[in-house]
Amino acid sequence: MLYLVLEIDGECYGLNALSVTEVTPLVELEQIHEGPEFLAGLLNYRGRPVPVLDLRRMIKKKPCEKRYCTRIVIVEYPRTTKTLTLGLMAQKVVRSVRVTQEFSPMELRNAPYLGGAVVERGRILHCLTLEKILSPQQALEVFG
Amino acid sequence: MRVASSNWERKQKESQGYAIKNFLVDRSMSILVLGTLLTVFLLTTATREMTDQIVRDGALRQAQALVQTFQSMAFSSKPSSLQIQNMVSKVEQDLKGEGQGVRLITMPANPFERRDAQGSGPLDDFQRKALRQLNEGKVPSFCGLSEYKGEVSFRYAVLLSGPEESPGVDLLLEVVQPLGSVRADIKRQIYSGAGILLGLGGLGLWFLGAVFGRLKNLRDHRAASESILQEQVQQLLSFVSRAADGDLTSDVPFQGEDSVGMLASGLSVMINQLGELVWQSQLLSRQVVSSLSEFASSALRQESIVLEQSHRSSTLAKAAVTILDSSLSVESTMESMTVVAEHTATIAASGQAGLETMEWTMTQVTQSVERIQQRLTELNDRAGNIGGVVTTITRVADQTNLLSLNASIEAEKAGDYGLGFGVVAEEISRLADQTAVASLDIEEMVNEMQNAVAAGVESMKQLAEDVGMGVLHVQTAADQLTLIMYEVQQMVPKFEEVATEIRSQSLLADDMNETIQDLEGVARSSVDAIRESNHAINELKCLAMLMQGEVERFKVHQ
Amino acid sequence: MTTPGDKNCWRKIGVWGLESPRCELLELHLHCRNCAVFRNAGREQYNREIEIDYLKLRTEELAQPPKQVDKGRKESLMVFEAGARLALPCELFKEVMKSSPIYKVPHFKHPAFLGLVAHNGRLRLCCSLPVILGLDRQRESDFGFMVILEIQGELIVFPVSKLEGIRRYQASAIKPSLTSEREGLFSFSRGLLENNDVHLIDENKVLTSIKGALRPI
Repeated sequence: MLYLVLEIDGECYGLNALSVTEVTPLVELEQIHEGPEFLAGLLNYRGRPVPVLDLRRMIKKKPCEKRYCTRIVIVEYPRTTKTLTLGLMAQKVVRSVRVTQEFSPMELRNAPYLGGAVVERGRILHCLTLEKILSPQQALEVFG
Repeated sequence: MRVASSNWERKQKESQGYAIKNFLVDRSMSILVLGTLLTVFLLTTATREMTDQIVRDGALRQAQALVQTFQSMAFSSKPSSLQIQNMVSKVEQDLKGEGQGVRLITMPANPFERRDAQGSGPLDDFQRKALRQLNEGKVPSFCGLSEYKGEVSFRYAVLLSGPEESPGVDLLLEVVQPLGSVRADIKRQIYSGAGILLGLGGLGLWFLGAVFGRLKNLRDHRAASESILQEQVQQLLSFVSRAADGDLTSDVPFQGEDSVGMLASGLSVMINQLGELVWQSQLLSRQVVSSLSEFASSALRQESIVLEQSHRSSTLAKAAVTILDSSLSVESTMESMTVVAEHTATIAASGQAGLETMEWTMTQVTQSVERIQQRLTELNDRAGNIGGVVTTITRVADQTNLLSLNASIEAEKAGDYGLGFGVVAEEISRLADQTAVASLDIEEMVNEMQNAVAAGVESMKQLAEDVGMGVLHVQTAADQLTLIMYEVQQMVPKFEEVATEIRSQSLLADDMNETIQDLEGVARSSVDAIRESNHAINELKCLAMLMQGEVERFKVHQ
Repeated sequence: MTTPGDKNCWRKIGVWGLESPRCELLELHLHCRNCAVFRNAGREQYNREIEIDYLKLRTEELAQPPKQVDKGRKESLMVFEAGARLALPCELFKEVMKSSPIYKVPHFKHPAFLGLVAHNGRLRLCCSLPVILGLDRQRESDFGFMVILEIQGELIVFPVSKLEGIRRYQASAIKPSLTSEREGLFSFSRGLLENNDVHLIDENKVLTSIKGALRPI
């Protein structure tokens, strides 16, 4: 399976390529002042407003820096009956990797989005579970 | 005469000896006269040369006295014409007391003035020489021996500056003292002395001649009456013999009324008179000897004076020669200095030209350095522009990377169909990374280049400053060389001036030398003349003493 | 001494370097491009801070709605230059390659037949498209690329001077050429594109013409 590698402060998080719509470059986002902290803002994605999550903010409690390699990954977030388009902003998205082994299962209370880990070329690759990337409360904050 | 008188009695028996005696008696007179005349002639000649010398000496002294008068006149500041007239008349007055023939000649120094003035003919050699020397102002006065109106004269000339109201009307004043006038004085005195001497000698000789004449008559008479008068004659003979031996004090042995007695008494009277005459002659000859001794001693003094003078003038001549030599050497030194100065000026000029070339070259270097600086700055700007290109490359690489990501995702979605496309996407990703590395390399190279260029710019700036300093130094050196050249060029005419002056001085020294040599020659000839006169005087003295000896032999009543 | 992973190691001990000893990893990777050190260095470049004006430019680009895609039938045509601007359907192109040497064949004097060209270990016929189309003879200096077309199972190499790219045209955009013209280029033309400037060539007629040219005399 092909995984898109999202690097945050040297840690690698893999996202299944099939769940990715597109990878876009970093652009200016419309700020939402009343929104939650992990929401980086609203992206004008080909004429459609898409909420963008700041993964670094969510994981490392620090906002993403504005760099060339900082990209927004457009995904379809499954929500009960329908899917919602969501942007995930990561510090460094420059490569994809093909993983052949099974992910060792992992279940963390504080980090439900980590769905396991695997060692790829000497580095630990965490598997991001897209459905659990937002806690129900966070999902409520974003999508209502 | 003595021999004749002493041997007369003894030899009268011998007829041959008698004849010789007669011959000697007859000739002795004329020999005496001739000797006296010769002596007088020699004396006259010697005296004449001596007087000349004395005259010159005296003239020189007088001239030296005049020199001071004239010098005081000539160097007093610009007298008026009235003052000049007064001075001239005063000098004329003074000169009248100096001696016969001494005169003052005034003559305008300006040739035009001279042509107008009455009675002044063309200048003679002495005047021309004097005027030339005096006009140049190198000597205060000019003197020498020269002929004036057919007479050898001592001449002394000064230049009197003209009156203040008419400058340029200078007067040449000249004192002429003919040597002939003085000479005549002294000559006259000496000649009178010699005349007296000659007269006295003549008188003595006349008496002797008379005595011998009487004796001859007596001899003739005796031959006639030999037997009668034998005794008386014998007596008289002894008497006469004594007288002949020089004893004029004895009395006649007898007296009588006869002829022999008359003869005896006459003889006695004659002897007495002769004695008186001889005594007078003795007195005179003593006087002559003493005066001749004085004369000789004074001549010796004269010789020493003239010798000293000659010595002095030779010293002076040496000094003049030294001056001449030194001025010649100074002149040559000046000439070589002029040459050196000109050479220095030439070298300085070439040095200046070299410096100008150097300055030009340095200016060129400065301009080149400025151009290089400009180029380097441009290069720096270009390198900076490359930074912009690097940014573009980085953007392209980034976009390519994004493209490869999306491509690989699309390929994954396409499943088995997308496998080849996935490989292409991976290749694109690699290309993107290579591009990024290339941009990194370019950036680093540009940085290195910019550093090098900055260093180059800095060193160029330093070089420009150095060159600027060099240009300044060169300009200073050029200015200094110009100054040196100016100074040296100023010096050359000064050297020439000094050389000219020295040359004229050497000419003057030459003239001086000539004059001194003339003087020395005169002195030398004076010495010779004095020596000759000394010799003549000594000879005269010897003769006088001889004569005195002869006269003294006569015993006379005091 | 530079060791693998140092700054610019590929320029010092790698394939572009002059320092010795050379990098040990080169034995493994053959080229620095394959080395993780090199790739990471390249990826580090993406870590640069993004310029605001560029950010704004990309924001505008991303905000553009996708172009309305025509729903009608489309043809993908390769537009290229060989004597004139020509076009052929994309599916005919087996490969595009750089110009290769042409080996002349004796006794075949037809101007349209240029010779043989080696491709993937096999010799292919090489023909001049402009000569076939009745245009001016091609000069060898104009052989920028060689295209390998598969026409009715035959692989034939044609030298072309320029490749403009693949374009998709609506079927309606292709205007039929004048049927009255039976001479030269127009006799091979199936239609005209882009203000009658580009000729869409009928490949079957070209193949027929080639077969005629290769017939032994």
